[in-house]
Amino acid sequence: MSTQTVTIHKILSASCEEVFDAWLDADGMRVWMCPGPVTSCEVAMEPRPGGKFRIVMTAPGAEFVNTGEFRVLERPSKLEFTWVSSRWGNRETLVTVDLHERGTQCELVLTHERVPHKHSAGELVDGWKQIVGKLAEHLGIASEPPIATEEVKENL
Amino acid sequence: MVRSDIHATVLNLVFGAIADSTRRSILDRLRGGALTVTALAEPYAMSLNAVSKHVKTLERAGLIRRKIRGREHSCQLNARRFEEAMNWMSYYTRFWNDRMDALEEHLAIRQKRGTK
Repeated sequence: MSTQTVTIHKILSASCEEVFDAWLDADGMRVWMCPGPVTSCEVAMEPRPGGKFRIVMTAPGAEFVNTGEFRVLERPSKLEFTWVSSRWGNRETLVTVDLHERGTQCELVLTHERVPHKHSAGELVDGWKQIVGKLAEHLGIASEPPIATEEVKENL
Repeated sequence: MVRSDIHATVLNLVFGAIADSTRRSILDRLRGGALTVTALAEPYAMSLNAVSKHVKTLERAGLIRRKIRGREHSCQLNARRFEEAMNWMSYYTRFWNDRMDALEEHLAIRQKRGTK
């Protein structure tokens, strides 16, 4: 299945540690994460694997909210996080930042992928639980979630 | 959610369709205006049937529209589909390039100040 991928290369005159740390520094990010017409940029983050971030960009007449979750934080070589933007219909996308030491410089390779939507097994189970619950309601009987879950798992 | 799933399917069809060089060439030639499938097939070293299959793939992706007049099938470009797919990529290519330039500047300023 084809997806869209954007790849950006950049050589930075800094150590990979400095570049890595800049991605997890909310105060610094406010300065460099403001695109063109954006007048203010608010950044809140929990800089740890599984931690969430929220970047709100305010432009005249528009506000974009970008949220995500840090998946991989391997100082100083790799960051991976999900990226969900209100500008693009809140679809979950994935950003990977790879940092390679090049002498005294750092080569940054950023890959931003649109991930095709897959239903995880968990989502399916949740979906079926709801359906089974509604069916039970419809039939006028009380549903017992543990039993329904077991049955669904069997069927998967 | 349902709407964005449909959107994703459309984008996958679009990108699948333009992954092939013959199909890209067909699209390029249609920029000049509508052509019949026979006229489209002319420059390619492949059967009319093979070209017709490429046209169908492009049609499914919504990149071209086919009009049938009697025996002749004429094909026309549907530019709107392109825009949808390309907008995302060009937006983020620019967004991240600009952000990385800003990051470079930010790091340089910090280094000058001697703060780490």
